[in-house]
Amino acid sequence: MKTIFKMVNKQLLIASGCLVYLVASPVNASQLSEQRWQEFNLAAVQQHIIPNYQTLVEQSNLLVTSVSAFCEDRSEQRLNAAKSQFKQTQQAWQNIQHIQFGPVTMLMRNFSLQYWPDKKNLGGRQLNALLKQAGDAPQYDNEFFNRASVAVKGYPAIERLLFEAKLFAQLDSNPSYCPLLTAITEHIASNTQSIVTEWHAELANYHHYAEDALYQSPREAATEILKTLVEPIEAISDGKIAAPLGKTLAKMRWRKSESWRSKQSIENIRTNLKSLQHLFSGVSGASTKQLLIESGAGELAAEIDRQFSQINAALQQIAAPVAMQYQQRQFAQLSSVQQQLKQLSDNLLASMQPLQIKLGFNRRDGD
Amino acid sequence: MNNKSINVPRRQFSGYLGCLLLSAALPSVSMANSPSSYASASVDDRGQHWLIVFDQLGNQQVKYPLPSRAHQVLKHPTQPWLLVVARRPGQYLLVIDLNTGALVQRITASTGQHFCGHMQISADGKLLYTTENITLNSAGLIVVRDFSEQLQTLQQFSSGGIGPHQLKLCDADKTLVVANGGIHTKNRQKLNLQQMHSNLSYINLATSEITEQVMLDTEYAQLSIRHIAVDDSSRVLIAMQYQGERTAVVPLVALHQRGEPLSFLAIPEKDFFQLQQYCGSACFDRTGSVVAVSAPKGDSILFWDLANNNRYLHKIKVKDGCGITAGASEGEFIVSSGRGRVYQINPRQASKTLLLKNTAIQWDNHLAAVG
Repeated sequence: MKTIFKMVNKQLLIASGCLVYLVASPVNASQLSEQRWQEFNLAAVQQHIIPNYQTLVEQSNLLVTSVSAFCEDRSEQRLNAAKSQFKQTQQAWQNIQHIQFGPVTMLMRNFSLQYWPDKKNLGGRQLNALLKQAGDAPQYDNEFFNRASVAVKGYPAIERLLFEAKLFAQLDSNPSYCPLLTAITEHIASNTQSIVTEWHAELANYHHYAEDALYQSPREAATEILKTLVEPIEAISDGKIAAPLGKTLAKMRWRKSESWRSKQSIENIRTNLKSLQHLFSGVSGASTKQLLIESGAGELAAEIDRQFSQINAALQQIAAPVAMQYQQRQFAQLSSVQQQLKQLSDNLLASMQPLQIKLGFNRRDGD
Repeated sequence: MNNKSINVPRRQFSGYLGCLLLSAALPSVSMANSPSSYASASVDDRGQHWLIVFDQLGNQQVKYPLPSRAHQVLKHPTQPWLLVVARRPGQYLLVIDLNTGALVQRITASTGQHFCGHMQISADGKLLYTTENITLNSAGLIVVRDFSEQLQTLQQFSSGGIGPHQLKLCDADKTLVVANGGIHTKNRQKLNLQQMHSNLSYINLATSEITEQVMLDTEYAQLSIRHIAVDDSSRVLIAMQYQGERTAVVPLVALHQRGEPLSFLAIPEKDFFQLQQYCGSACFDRTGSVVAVSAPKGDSILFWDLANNNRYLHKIKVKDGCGITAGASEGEFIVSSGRGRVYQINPRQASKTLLLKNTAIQWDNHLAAVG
């Protein structure tokens, strides 16, 4: 595509040269400069996105090692170590799950790493189907993964293989069990490594802005980053709390929650929020919070930061379910967290106004 | 409702809109027979919705305040009027005078009904057709109103499904083709995604009867047919939105010719997953040989060459691009975006030219050629 646009780019370069001078400047005097947005972008990419993906690579590599070690002797001790490592790796993914642009969206990597919610139990059915083919001594190579369903390529598949008793019963009887388990961990590790490698190349997009480049201005690049800060809150509330919680305790189905097999449903949400808070106020130099303060919205900025901490504290108070069932107390606590997430989401959306950021019009609310 | 128009004299605009005269440097734009003006609903920085008419030099010709978000805009074929209808669940439809910028008439939907955001006008300029819903159950209606009788309702009949959206006249106005989206909504909340059934219905306007109905196979039951375009030979271009699993690979664009099955237009997988299973507007070029469909969630406009076995041409990036109308020459389209841009695109030449830019305005879903 790049070559086709070569000529057009030239035209546009001329055009955008004019634009700088001709477009009437917006009214608000406190408007942040493009330079400031550029600092914001680099802070988010270099202090948040790339380091978090780098951690994900490290954690995914540790999972390969730990699962391989377990498969060697299949001891209880190494199984526990693998399970514990899985939880850590899963948290590293939850830490960067909100990024839904850039390399993770290429080649369906986002779905491959985590196919969830899996309403039709695709993961379960596909894993069973694969394990049944053990007699054919299948090769779990690149070609296998190119053809395999997204439901068996990521963390949820590992979780099932390590934590689901029915599946795990096949460990010794099925010659494919360990080879498949190990191959999936290796596939994940290589997938996450590609994301980091590509993000380093992606950095170039944050140094070249033009009408037909990936981003037309630093502010536009910042919009993409801010979407990943604002939009996940509602998705977390709807998908990770409202859906499994249901409207009444009687209707609650905690098996609809994320990572219930490894009992990390709530931990996931806490990690999500901690990471989003880091993106909001934890990066140094030009965080969203800092820019809100510079735009005269310091109170709102402080309120949002406070809400992040408050929700995380509230989540910490929620006891684990017993036999996948919650009591009225936990139901009330989770309902309250939903309310708080709604307020946080509203505040984050409201904060786009002082920042003069439009998250997207047709794409967010079409017809 | 604010019924006052803001009548801005023509010469005053250039600075006002902040739109740019880029086209002078770009000779391909100044075609003698090109449509000179375009119209679209929009929203400004303060959240106020406007109907805006502008020419391709960026001069604003009409700017009329809207009571809420609108959807389709349509030029009356014989009068100097522009019609704008509220988006669903819509309560207003306005007729604006293009010369004075003043309101000619405002109508509302009947009690218990609402507009669905799209309309058509018969070629003789006498009749207005709108898709409407019975609010309670989203049962689809076609409502016919008479321009010679202050747009009083002449008749209404079933659209052939639930949640009708875009409609088009074809066969020299003898037939109405309607996209019944199949989704029952309450205040825009979708209520029946597990049971939904979308269809394309052809309605004989002489009898109000459905003469042909195209349904999707069960595996595609959660595809919603929403936007359509029709060419001179009554071929229907269909843009769809999928309501099922996020990872499902489903057709999003199709062509239909009466009496034949649907023919899906291919999208390569690498492009498909960028679209988030969502298409916006559908449009034929002036000659019917190239078609365009917008995919705002994928920041893309997709093109197919109908003169060449419906071959997929490519996608061209337009951030938050949604409105499309045919340009002056073969294969040419005008595209508007939620980021205040208007482009002229010719996919065969892979050319994309910025016509207008005003980042204080977000162009809404549909763009119309005014004349």
